Amino acid sequence: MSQQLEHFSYDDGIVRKFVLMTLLWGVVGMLVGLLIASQLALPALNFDLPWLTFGRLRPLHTNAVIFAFAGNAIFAGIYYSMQRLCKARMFSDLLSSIHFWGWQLIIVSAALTLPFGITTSKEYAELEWPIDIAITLIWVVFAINLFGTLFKRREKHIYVAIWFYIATVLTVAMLHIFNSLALPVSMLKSYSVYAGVQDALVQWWYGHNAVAFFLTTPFLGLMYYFVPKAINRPIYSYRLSIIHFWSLVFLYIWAGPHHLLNTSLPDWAQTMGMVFSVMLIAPSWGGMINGLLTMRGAWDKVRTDAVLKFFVAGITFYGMSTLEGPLMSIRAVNMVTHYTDYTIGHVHGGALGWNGFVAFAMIYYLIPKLWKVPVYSQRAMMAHFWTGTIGIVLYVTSMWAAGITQWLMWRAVNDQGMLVYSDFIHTVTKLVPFYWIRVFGGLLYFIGLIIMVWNVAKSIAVSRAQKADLSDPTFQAAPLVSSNGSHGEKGHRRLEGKPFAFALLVLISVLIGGAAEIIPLIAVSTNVPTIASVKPYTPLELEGRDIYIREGCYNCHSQMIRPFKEEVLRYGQPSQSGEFVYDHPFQFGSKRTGPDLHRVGGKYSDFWHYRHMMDPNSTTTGSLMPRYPWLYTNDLNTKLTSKKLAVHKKLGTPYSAEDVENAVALAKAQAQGLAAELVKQGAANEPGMADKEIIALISYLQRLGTDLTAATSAPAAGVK
Amino acid sequence: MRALLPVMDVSFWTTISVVVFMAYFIGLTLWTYQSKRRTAFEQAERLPLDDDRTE
Repeated sequence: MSQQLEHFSYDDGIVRKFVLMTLLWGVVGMLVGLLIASQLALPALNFDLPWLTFGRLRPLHTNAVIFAFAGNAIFAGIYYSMQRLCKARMFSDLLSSIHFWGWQLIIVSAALTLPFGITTSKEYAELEWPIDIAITLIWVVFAINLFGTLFKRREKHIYVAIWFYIATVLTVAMLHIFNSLALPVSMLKSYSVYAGVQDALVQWWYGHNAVAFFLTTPFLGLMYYFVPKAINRPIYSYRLSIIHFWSLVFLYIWAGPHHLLNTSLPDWAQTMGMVFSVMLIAPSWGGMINGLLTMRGAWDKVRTDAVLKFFVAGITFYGMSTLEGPLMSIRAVNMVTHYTDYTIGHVHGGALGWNGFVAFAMIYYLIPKLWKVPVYSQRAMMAHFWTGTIGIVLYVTSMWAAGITQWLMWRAVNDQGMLVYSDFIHTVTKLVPFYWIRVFGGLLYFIGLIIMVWNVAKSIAVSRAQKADLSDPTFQAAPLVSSNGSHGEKGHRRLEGKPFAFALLVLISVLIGGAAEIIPLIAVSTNVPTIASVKPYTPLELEGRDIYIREGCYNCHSQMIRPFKEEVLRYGQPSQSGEFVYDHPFQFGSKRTGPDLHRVGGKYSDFWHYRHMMDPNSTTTGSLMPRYPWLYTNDLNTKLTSKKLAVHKKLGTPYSAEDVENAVALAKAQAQGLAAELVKQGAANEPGMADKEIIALISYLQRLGTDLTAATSAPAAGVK
Repeated sequence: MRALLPVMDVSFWTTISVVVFMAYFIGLTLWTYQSKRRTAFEQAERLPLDDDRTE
């Protein structure tokens, strides 16, 4: 039957834009990474500037690399492959353009807020609520564009790569919306609607699945499209890809609690996260095997083709990370890896190896297609590959070694059962050589990226010099009509022709795991037992807590004592879930560059904290913590204090109307008391001392972990 | 749902979820590896390579 052919073109202009932004943000994100890695070995590199400190820049690094570098790479790959797999131009050029510019604007907003301490403190979700809303809107634009393209496609069957894109679009939307639910205090400040362990579970349900559905599924989609293209042979097993896809999307969403193993999260949730994480090895390795075996019979090409080299190394790193991750999710192994640099090594193996290398491979593959010239220098591509690979190996191995060293030193006890390294600082200074090796590894990887930027710039220059025709060429294909639909096809094959039914099944698959974990935790009150002596923070402590969040202290300090002998010896009684019921948001942290702070309250004098924050080396010789001099000059802003209490009250914190109304007066009274005490302990009696931010921060630190031993009749929000 | 809440412990959830997932996984595998689907899959796996036909 002959059909009228339709003429159409692909929008490659949008792909070119996303490719260029991938490189730009890659340079920015990795440069910030290099700076903060150096600061861990040499904290003076913050130059006493608040917006250059580790705690504020680390979220900028993670957001830039994940959402700007990897995000733009994903969009470039999706826009290129979607059009070709659907034999249709994107649904709307306008939506493509809004998506592109909106996303760049969000990234710029992140760069303009995070260094200034405007943060929610929820890892990889630090952006404040107006930016969260912008992300939601732009994501909806992307989703409409993607599903619209599927709607007008000329190819009946939806290829496996697109299944992964569909899973990405739907799941990221769900995760982002639920994790970002917050009540605003102002345009730049909000509090999570969840508290304590519930907030932690929702956050790591999001955080883990940001890795799963932003850094894994879209890249798997890119792998399924670009690896066959690069080697010019079909994927090893389409059947395996079906099993890979459905197993992965169903299993991944359950694994979030493995970020909270051995914490005060209820046992059942921890075990469920562990079981599903271990099961994840199967689909993950199914995908890796499918990618690598696509090279079967053509391995000789890998020797000479840099694009294939990047793909093979990237997929291999994926295999490594997806074996290591489940192993780290076993409680006993997690004792070693959690809170240590081991996790940093694991994460960077995946990010630099899998995401970075697949993005680089894809861009090198796309240059000749998009700019109509060969890549300028093959030798530079090879140089990029080797500097990058050596950089990753140095980075990851140094962090593995640092992590294991940390763990061994934290838990070392002598014959009398006492800690061998009772001063935490001994376990920190030992790591400095590893931190320098990490900087060197990161520098090599960054140099590789710079080589790539040069290579791409030269290729584009040649394209311009040759006046290459970059206009969108016209193609032709038969339209998709309902009569050639799904007659005689059953099961999955039929489903592959029905994008909306397919999307619905994906959504159900991911909702099951999410709901099974989160609903019981929120619905069953026994999961978080109430502790009568736990009271809400005083207004001054709440302000101090917000400074703690602003400075990103959670990036280096945990607030979660695990039930291990060595942790009890070092920090005190294990943390209980009931202690965090007023923590909007939770501050468990995920890394201990410095010690845990959950029971730091009362451990040191107020004056110790006062000296420590001004110059950590004055109290702890060899400390790698930066100085915070601005806390001694900045006046505490109390304009929003009452409103902050009011928002907490709405969220269920039992503040009285009187507490809310008198919040500023209560804060000032407590600050006066604390300042007077500091002077008694030896601090210089400087005018206006009680009004400074440092006072609020000390009040918060001195409160931490003390509620368990506090009298139950203590006032809710008054001066203690 | 309320009746179920008290028994939502480790063994309940892990048992239910493992059984459901295994059934789902085995069913999907059996369906996928039926030999009659070979031709359809061979066509499907060529989609990214055939997209050059229109260019």
